[in-house]
Amino acid sequence: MREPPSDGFPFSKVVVFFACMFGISLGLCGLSAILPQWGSNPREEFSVGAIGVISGIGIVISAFGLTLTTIAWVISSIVGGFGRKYSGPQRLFDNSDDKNNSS
Amino acid sequence: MIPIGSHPAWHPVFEALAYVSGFAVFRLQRARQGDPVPEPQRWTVIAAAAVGALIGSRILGIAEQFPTVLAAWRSGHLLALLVSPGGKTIVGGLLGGWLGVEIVKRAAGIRTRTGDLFVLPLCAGIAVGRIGCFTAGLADDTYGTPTHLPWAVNLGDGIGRHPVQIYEILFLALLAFALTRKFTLPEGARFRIFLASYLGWRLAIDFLKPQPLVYGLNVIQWSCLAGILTLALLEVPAMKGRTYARAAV
Repeated sequence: MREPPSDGFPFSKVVVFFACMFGISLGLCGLSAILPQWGSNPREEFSVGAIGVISGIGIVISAFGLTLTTIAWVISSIVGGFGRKYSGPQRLFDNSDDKNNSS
Repeated sequence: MIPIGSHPAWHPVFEALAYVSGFAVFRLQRARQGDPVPEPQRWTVIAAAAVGALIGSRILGIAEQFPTVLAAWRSGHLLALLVSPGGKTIVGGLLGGWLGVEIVKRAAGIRTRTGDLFVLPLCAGIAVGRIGCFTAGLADDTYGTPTHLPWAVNLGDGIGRHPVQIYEILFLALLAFALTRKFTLPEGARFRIFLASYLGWRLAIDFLKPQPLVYGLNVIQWSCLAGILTLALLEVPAMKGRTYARAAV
């Protein structure tokens, strides 16, 4: 799915961002379970409890974001038309003869 | 018997580290080797791989835990089970990511082979993730069958087991070493060799995991077999084409 037909919105980068956010939130979720075993006090101002909340919010936001962005990307690609393939810079002159002559 | 125990909370930490290390190795490789694919297309391929991998790993994870899913459905907790972060499989992730990339490449008209740059990041990421599976012990479904070998590990139940995750890390280190040697291969061949080798490895090593079997193989092994057959069906005609082309020259 190319970027140009969707008016330049970088769907692929947003999808990768949400995927990374999902992975990191998942890791924080594990940390929030591990840290209490090492004696961290959950009642401190920014402690394990806070990490758990942040990771939970991160998982929910990234999961929704990932789903919605993917759906929007697919729809915009279909509406934009899969028929129009990725187009690189257009060559004004065919230089295949030059190559043949030089070789 | 080596005492290890089960520490499931480490699993998500290493899973996140696996994604981070895979991405870091990818960036390093790309900066060092260069990339035949232009940047916008590369982002498209990465995004397709990420989405495909997430969906594939989840689908196969659910298929693997079918009795649990059935029980959750009967007790009305199916939605909670489906949205929980656990229950993902590497094989499903690889096959789903591969399928996602192929679909998107076909849709966008990208003809360049894009997989070679993913080989080393995948080896690194899977190896780091497997440390998490190893520390999770009996809480993860990836532990080995009982054994009396001197390197058997005790995951907390007093039974010596094959450290199958460590076997896999060693296999991935060897595979990464072999595939990063400087021998000439057609574009995309390194990724296909990696995929075929990993699926073949899982087909073999999963006999050392106590999983429910369906006609002699577990769900992961059936998926590996399907993946290998698909690769063979795609690759054999391509190889023949290359041979004919060479003969014609």
